[in-house]
Amino acid sequence: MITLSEGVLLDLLSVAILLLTFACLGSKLFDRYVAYYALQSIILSAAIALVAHHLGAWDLWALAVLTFLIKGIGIPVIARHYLIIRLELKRDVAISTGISTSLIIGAVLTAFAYFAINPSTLPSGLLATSPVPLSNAVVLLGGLCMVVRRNTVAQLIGWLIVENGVFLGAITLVATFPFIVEAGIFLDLVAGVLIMLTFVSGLAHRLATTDASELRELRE
Amino acid sequence: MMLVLIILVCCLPLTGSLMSAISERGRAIGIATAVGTTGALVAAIALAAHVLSDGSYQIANGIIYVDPLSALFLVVIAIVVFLAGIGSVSYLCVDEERQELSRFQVRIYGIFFGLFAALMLASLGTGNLGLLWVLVEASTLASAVLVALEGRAASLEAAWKYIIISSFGVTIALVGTLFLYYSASNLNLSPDQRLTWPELFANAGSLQAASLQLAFLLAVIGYGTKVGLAPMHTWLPDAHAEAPSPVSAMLSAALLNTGMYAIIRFYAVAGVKLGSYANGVLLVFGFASIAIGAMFMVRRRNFKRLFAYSSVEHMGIIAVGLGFGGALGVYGALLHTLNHAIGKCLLFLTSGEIKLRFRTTLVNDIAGLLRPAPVVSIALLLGSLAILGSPPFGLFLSEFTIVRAGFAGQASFGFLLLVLLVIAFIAFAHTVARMAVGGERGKFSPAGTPVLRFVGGLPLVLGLFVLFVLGIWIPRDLNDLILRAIATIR
Amino acid sequence: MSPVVLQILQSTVVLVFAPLYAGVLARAVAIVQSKHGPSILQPYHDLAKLLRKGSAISENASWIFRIAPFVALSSYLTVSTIVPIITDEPLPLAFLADLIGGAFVLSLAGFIIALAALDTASPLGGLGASRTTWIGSLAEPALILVFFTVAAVSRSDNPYFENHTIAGSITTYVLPTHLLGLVAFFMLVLAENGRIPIDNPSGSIEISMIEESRVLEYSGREYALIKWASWMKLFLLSAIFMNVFVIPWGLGHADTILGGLQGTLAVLAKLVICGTAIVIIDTSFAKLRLFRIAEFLGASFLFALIGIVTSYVVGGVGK
Repeated sequence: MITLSEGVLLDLLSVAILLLTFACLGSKLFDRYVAYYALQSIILSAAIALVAHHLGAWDLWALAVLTFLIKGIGIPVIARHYLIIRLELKRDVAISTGISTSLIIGAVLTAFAYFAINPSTLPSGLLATSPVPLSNAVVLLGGLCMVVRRNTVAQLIGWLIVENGVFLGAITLVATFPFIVEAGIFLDLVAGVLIMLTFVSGLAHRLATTDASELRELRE
Repeated sequence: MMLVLIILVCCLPLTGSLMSAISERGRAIGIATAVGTTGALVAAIALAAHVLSDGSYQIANGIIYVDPLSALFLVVIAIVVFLAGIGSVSYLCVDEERQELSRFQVRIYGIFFGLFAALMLASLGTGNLGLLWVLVEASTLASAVLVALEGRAASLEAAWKYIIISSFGVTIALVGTLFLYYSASNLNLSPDQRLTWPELFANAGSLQAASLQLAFLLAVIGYGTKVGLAPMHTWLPDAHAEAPSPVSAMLSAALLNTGMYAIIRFYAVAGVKLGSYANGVLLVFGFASIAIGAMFMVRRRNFKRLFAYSSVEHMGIIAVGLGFGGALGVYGALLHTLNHAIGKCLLFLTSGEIKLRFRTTLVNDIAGLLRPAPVVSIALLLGSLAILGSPPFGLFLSEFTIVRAGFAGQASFGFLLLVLLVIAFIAFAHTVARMAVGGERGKFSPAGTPVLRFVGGLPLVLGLFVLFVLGIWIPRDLNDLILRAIATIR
Repeated sequence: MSPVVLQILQSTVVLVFAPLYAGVLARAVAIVQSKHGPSILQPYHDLAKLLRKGSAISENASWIFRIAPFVALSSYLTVSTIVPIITDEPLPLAFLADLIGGAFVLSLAGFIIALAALDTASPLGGLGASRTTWIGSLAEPALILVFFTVAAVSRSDNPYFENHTIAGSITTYVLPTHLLGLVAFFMLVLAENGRIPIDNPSGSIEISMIEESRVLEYSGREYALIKWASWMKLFLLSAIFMNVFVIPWGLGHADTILGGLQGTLAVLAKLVICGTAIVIIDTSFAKLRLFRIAEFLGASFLFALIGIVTSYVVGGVGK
């Protein structure tokens, strides 16, 4: 009974993560992007903590705390401070597809993610099954965010959402990943974010815009 | 002994990074880089010799793991790193002297060049697929900094495109890795072992087919983004064209092969269980890459982009070779990896030398290279011939092997490959020939001192020589290594 | 004997208490907005007044205009016989339709009122008809999907069966599918009844009204019926929302009159909760611009869709 309710809770948390991805896809304000991402990361850290509690694994507890501190607080604060406020970003005008259209595409992608994962092939003994297709949906939707948005800051957030999706899948599917790999993945993420932040502010410096549609030097 | 060699291979390229920590002179950093990479090459060859005599080696559940396949790739990448390391010397010295690079940029170059090389070599020295992912992703980050090094708007743009597309792609590969991990969940393996390639390969027959299929497809798409398989290749021409030339050489000849190495690891596991499905996936992506590479080579105005599209084409050829399967196809693919790595490294270094002299990468601004810079110009001509697969160079032999493997299987595939290769040949040769011969045009300025020019020409001559030798004679040890590598993945 | 009595009681409860529900809502909204507001019995006074008056009908109006109020009212009466309002077992007439059938009957009422609005050729009527039809065209796919979410949870589209399944197990209650369906359905309740943020029920500016502008041409007895029908719609949808989705407990047993009376009290208590939610939304959100309505309903659709695909993996009772 305990296991069952933990599984149900994990299902709910994953659904919340997916809904926040949709919220991000359906939003046009940079503040909101970051807020949704922060909330999503905090929910993700709760989900990791849940799995950690279930398995009694100390490394997952560490991962949950790290996720909360770095993804839930650190990255959003840095992104807000160094990008949103300093570059005076407010409303995202560089969106290639209409909100409604991209939401519909998102819905289709979600459905696709579900049907790509045949539940009968999922191994028994998973804490919960729905996070697996949900995480795939989050990965696809994060990719969609990156595709429909031309602003580099928005693309960065799309990539961060993709990462969250992968983490969600990882903790349910393969909660017992070797620690060295988990740590490495996390380290890569942090380094990647730092480098991307540098690039974005470099681009902003040089082009006085963070809009990737202005990046057309390389058209041939 | 093996362990020491592995650590040496992975850590020696960091000499340049260490030197950048204490010095900011281009010459010192360049020489340290060259020395370090030379050491890494020697260590890699010694390691390969050890693997040949003693067989595979692994400790700590495959966290460190070397078998003939990784030894082969270690040698290939160490050669590239070595050539690019020497090429870095003239790049750093000349551009520093002309004040095109600030001291800060020189330092960044030194640090990240070493890091990039070390990460790529390290990713070949692990049997843990999760760790492989971590290292490949880390090498993406390190190389993105190098792509952006020159700080022009265009190079920042290319770096942004590169890091965003590659990171997304490699994330897909992580999802693939997760699925592979979990396709092994019903096996009696510890969590560590479920990511360890030798364990997975040994138990490949009892993996869950459906998730393995998904894992392989995701891995090919994901790592394929790094390899530059079409249609995930879009970052490649930009990054190659904008990066400093020694870095372009590393990207094209080493990074792409690292991605291909990861695909081969997945291919080996998937091939056991899924058979022709794995081959089919690689054939589709391979042919798409050759076709797109050949198509986009027509009338390129920027020769670095031309070489980049040629890389797309050659990665396609390697994928097709793997896709044809059989001992012959895989042999051709592995041999082609070596040949293409040397040939493309040589061409990008040549492009760097040309750029040092003409300060442009546009084809129309360059003609009549032969008289003022004979060595560079001959390297360009012969290197292009080599990369196009004409005898007597190594690529002829390996492409011929792959085409033969194609005709041995389905003749129509072999024929298709042949047609695409001819298109690529015409497109490429047309452009390059105009640059080397014809009346002199463009503003020529000699690159550095005679010593620097000698150092700059050295990797070109060395590369051409090795390609020539490989075209007429495959050393017995190399042959053994490739055969052993095939045996480990079949 | 008692089932028949209960059947009559159920429809009577809907008929009698629907105006009260609307009155209480209007009063509550007014109080929250620091106004005094009308008496909660005001709808009854309105009805009594209107029913006594004669009605003026445009000479261009056809028979459709005349019968529309009767069709609408009887549609809602029909629905009131088939859904669980006061009992947890199907009453004699419940075999008429399942939830989807009920939705068809509801949309019949909307359809006939839209036709009547067009019938008099008044410009505002046409405007209202086109807007409600447009909203309906967006809301109905979502509504069908919501019914599928409950069906996915309980493996049935019979509202009584669904009520039992959800009441029977707390695990089923917290399934993502069910919770998403719940949210989606609440959004649809708001949309279908022209509440904020879709439409302002107390709005009086013709150009921006949606629901009300359809019935501007009505007067007297017909107008009374139309008003009554729309209050019944609000009552019915709120009751379905509470009884099937939110609080599936506390319904009376179908075999005793006493059970029916207990169920009546329960449903009134539940409507207080639902009404509170509606009042909170009414007073804390602004009306959406017209073309944002598509996004609101799209969100509802999305919730329902995610709910259904989630059920594909997590499963309902069957798994």
